Amino acid sequence: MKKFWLFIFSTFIALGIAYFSKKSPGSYADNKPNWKTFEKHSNNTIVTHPSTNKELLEARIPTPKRSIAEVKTKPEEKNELNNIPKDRNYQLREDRILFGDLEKRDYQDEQIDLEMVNKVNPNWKEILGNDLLRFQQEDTKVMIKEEFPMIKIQNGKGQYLEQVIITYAFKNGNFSSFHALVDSDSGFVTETWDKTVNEKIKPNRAELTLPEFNNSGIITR
Amino acid sequence: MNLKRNTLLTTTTLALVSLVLSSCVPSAGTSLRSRDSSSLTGSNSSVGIYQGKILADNPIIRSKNEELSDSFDLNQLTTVVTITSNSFLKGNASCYGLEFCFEVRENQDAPSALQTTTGKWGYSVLTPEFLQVNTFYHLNKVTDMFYNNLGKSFSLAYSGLIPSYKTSLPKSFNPFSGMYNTETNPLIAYANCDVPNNAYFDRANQTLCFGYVAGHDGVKWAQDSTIVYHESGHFFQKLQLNIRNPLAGPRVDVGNNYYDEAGSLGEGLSDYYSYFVNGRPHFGEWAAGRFLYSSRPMTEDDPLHISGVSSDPDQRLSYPQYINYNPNFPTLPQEDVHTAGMIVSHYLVALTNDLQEKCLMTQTDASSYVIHLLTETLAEYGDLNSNGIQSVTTNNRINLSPAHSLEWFRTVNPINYRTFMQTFAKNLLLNLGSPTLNRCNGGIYSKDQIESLIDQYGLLLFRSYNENRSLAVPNTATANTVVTATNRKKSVLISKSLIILDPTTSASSAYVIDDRAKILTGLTSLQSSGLMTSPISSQTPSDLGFNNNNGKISPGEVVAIALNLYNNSNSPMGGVQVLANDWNHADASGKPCRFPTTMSNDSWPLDSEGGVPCSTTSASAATDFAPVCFIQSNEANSTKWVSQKDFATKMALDSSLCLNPSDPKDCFIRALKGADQSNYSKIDSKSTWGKTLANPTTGKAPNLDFGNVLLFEVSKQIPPGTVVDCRLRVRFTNCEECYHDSDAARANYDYKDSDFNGPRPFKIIHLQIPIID
Repeated sequence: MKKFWLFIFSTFIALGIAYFSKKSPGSYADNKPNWKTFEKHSNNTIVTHPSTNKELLEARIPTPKRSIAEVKTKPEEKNELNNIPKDRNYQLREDRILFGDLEKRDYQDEQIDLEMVNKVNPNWKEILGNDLLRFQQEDTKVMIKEEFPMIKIQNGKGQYLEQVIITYAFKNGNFSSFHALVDSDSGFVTETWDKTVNEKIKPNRAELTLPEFNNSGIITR
Repeated sequence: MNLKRNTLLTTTTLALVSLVLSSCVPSAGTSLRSRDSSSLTGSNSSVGIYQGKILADNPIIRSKNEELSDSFDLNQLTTVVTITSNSFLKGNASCYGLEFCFEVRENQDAPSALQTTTGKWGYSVLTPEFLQVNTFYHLNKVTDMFYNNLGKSFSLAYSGLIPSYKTSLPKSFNPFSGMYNTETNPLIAYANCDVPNNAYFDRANQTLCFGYVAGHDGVKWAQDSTIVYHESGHFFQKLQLNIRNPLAGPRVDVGNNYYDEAGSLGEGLSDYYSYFVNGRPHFGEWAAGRFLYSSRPMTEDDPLHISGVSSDPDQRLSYPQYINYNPNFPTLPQEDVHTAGMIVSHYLVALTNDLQEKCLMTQTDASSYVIHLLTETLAEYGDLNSNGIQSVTTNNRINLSPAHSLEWFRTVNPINYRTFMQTFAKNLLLNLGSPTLNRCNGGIYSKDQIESLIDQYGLLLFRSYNENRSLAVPNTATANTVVTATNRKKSVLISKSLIILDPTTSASSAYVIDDRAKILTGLTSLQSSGLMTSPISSQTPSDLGFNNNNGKISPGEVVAIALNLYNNSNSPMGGVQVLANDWNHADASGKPCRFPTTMSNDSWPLDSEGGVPCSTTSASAATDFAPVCFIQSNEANSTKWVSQKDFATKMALDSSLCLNPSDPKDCFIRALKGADQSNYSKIDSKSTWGKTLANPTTGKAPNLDFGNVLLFEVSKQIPPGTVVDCRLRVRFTNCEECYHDSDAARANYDYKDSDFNGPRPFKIIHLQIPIID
């Protein structure tokens, strides 16, 4: 009888542990440290923290555990750097993916000088997060995920860039995502792609009424 | 002690076992019903192992009732089919490195795909589980077809390892038998999304989302298989466009948040994916069509069309006449990518029919061939390494150069109806028109047949097939095939000189909008949708406090400017685009170029006004990209147009006070990158855009959208009274001189990519802006 109660008791404890361990939302950062949330509380206050599971779910960003588990990871088929996919042989320099005008020289050879037009600012992500929220309304959030560090070669010079995913989550429940390249120094977006495609029926057009007349003094020719 | 140890041991063991078990079984989301089939309705009793119930087509088609009520019991329309032998709704194993290419979840709260514990997938239509199973079935179907087609593409493009023609498909793309290294993460489809009147594809996070119809909450977009195919079509286009691009690094997409022709083509191609699967030339009859009046036909014989539209060669849905035509509201012109995309979907269906007739293909084979041609076309266009096709070693053939390719693809020379049809036609010619391949029932689908059908759609707007693009040289091995001019019967090319500013007496030639709230709305929208790729200066306050809504341009403002363009020809113009991006119109020192009259219509500025003669339009050095605006400088004896950098020097303004402190070249005024182009779908003959799109009943012009305006940022440092000249470039899709190089040496070939960095392909229009305090 004592053993029975012991079993019941321990089962409840075990179930309790299991339940609460599943219920606890936890931080997404636990398994996806690259996501970071910036939240605009007021024009002067933008707070930042590792993105939580709840925030990412609200933005309909897939939970990572399942996706990661599904990838048939073969270490020998991945580059060492940040899980760069092995769809081709990427050229690397300073542990960054090279792209742009790569034909002229072997920029992978770090013995060869490469003039850089910028430097890497460790606070680039904070600058980016603040810039992305600068004009947005209060309570707008932006979540940034680091993907790959890059170097773009143009006119024989290099530019440090960071490839990221940017997701906006608005107070009204809407959200928007895209990929971007960000200057590693200034923290500003330089290129974007992978913008969301909507089938929205009758989307609202902007309220830019054609003025009756032009009093701007502009002369056209 | 033993008891204590045993208790501890037992508790720990059970806890561990529970934890292990709970981690094996996916955790519950907000709805337990979404997780485990054991708690579901009795529908499973009527299906066998691995089977489930689905709507084989949308409820309108299944019921044969165009006015089907939202209260109708859709269970009566379901079919039992094999779903999957997997225990989760995950499908297609064609994606290299991934166990499955996609999975289906109820919504974002569901941590994983739906699971069955019985091996059965039978659910009532009213359950969220049904939506997931229905989405899975159709997504799996179209995905299987797409990847199978990709395999066929390789067998069409290659004979062993030898290309059968100049293909865009890289050999390395198919290194693993039947598997494609296309994605790093699986596609995730949310079948029961909480978004009203919408479905979407989030390209960055790789998710599809199927919402509901507001006011008819039981009507779900996922109940309509054509919508599943259409949204999947956007995903496949992403793959097709990026076949030649690495998985890591910049990639391309088509369309933006506002109207443009690339986006219209994307929608039309997605509609065709629905036809590709079900062979039925109509999209979205249920959720979109029945309740939102937004279904779309893909053939002129569809009864939804107005009476003047038919498959008669003279009554096709031709460009640009029907670019604003919505068959659901045929009298109300509409500027929208979905309806504008109908022209290409109609063409592709007509081509499919023509291939069946002329090449004796089955509909399945013909549509499969069309998808192959789309893959070739999009893969070529999307190449950011600037090759576009195999066997080209110099990467300057397309999209200018690897360093500038994204800018060229997106802004400078984007896909539009003309350029898309030209490349598609080239691939058609290389495949079914090839006398060496003889793929049209042992013969060829002739060049005349190709050109004739394209012309019926008003889209024979090119003079050559542009096989060699920027590398083409007439009368050499890299010559282009020329279009037979007599095949151009319906397609109308208009001189660029006929796009002018509204000549009507008292009409405005440009509009300025500087309302603070409206501009702020535009900025936030452009930025959050990923369109804006330059920062706003730190000197511009985040509340746009300098914007004063007086309709004038003042220091410190961010303003929207729209040109009041007028079509002075006798035919409609389509795809009008105004560019305010940086281009090669200044010499290396920044002085404004005066081009010869053979290059530019503006003959500006004179030497006495500060101009210097220029004739090159190279596009490589940093000095080849000058800001669109110059500034008038009052000199001792004259006024001259000078660069902003020179004006700052003259003012002794420290560069730290420029809009961009690290680059004074656009110190005082700049078009915001991403908002430096405006698009207008169509301008009718002898009309303006506003009149073309005006409500015919009220006569009222539509509001401008942010895709119709250019956004300029003005420095608060610019002195009032200063005059700025912004040299805008204007073109349109059915333009005679905007794409063909009339230079005799180029024999009406297309301009080279670098030419688009100069004035020749454009009508130059100047905005002379007084800065008023």
